[in-house]
Amino acid sequence: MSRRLVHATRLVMTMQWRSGFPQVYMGIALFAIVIFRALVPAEVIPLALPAFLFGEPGSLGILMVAAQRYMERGERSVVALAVTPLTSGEYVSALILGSALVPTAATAFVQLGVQGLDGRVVMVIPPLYLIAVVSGSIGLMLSTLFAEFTRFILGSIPPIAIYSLPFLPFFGLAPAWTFKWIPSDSALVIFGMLARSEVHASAYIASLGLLALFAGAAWWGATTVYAMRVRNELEFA
Amino acid sequence: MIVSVRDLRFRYPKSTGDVLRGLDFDIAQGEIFGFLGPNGSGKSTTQKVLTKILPRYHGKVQVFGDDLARVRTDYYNRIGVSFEFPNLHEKLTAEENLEFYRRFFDVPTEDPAALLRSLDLPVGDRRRAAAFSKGMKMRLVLARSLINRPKLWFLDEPTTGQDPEHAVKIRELIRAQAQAGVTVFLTTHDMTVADKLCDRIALIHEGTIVVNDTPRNLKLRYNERVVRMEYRTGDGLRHEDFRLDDDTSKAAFVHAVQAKHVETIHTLEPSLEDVFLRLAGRGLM
Repeated sequence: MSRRLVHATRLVMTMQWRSGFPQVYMGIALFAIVIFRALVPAEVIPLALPAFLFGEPGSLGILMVAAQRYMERGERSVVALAVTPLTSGEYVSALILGSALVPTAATAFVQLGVQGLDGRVVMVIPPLYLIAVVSGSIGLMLSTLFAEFTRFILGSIPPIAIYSLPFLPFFGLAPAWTFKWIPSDSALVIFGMLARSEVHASAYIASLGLLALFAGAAWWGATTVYAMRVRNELEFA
Repeated sequence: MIVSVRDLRFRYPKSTGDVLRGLDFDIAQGEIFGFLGPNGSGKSTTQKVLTKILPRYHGKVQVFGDDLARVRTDYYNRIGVSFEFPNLHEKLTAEENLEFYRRFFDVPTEDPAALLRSLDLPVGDRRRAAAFSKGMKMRLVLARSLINRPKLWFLDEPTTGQDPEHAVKIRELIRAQAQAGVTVFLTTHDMTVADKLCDRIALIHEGTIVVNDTPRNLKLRYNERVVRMEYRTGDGLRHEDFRLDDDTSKAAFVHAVQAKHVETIHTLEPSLEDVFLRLAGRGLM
């Protein structure tokens, strides 16, 4: 990790802290723990918990990274960063990798709060982080493509809908192989196994590997879109 | 030469014509080079080309002797860029803005507190930049552009939003940097700032440099050598112009000095604004 990437990540996380993002994630996590423990029947948890574990870093992750981008755009701070040795690749990496840390911690906390301290808390962290990277990359791409937040909201509906399709096989409404091409499927497979305490090492590693590939592809896509589109923003800054 | 530009042309992707139409200029080390022109003339575009924000230009641009098209991001270790608008991380304090920014450079940097003090900005203040006045924000942008001790300093309207006291302070800072060997590329449409600061001025109009000379030479070149005298009579204040190239007028001037109750005498050399109006046929705003 380059020194600049570390500093850029610190910058991203400081800006997110000051914007209240971690507080929102932790607030939702605490609320979720209370709801799961007080209201959700034990037999429903193997279905409900994976859905939540995917939803917080997944759907919320898309919105949070986009919110940060629109804030930066309003401040025009990206123009100032463009005249430093920090490359756009380093900045995008900092934004995506840094933004994935808080939802990962908050959601792992939910796993801990709902099913207690055991090996599953450790095993849930890598897929949480990777799905947060995928979501952050999607959020960054969409917010870079759409100049206004209202357009982003409309524009993000189709990708979020596609992103949610693996819930169909997860709830038994479609064959398991149908949506293997969507990153969220691998995450749901892992979260489902962990919630049911039926972890198969080979399935866990295969899904994690696939998720890592998706995360890498999403990061590359976000870096490419950002590098192309942010140049336009700078031209008219 | 620190900057050498030959036949610089630039066209925005969706534009039908060139914004920059073959610019030629050189800037020597320690020089304060004023780049003046009205809105839309190509000033900011030129600065964006020189700071590599706009990489797809035509022509030859050399900075520090290197071809600008080939330099990489370490170029930014040697230049400082101050923008005409506040582009700060508004949720950070002034010191945090400088602290985060300085860590992106690979060269020795200035002490943020010293920089803040030099521009009358608060040190140890927990207020976020969002709470600052526009003048304070602009001074913070200026301070940030000096954090990496640049050899070439780009300034875009550096006194925008400043009260007279701070405008003087900023001009003194720019002069001090130039005396220390920093080359300054100053983009402005404020002729007073340019006149007081710049060693040399290029006037740009519709993407073309119409003139490039020292402020003194520019004014002398278009000077009509006329003296205006204001004198008091029983009817009130009157004035009369005397042409210094005309012997009769000169004699009349000498006579008037002796015979009238003179209040003021001024040479009527043109301002830079007048020079620009004459060359471009329109004002700078």
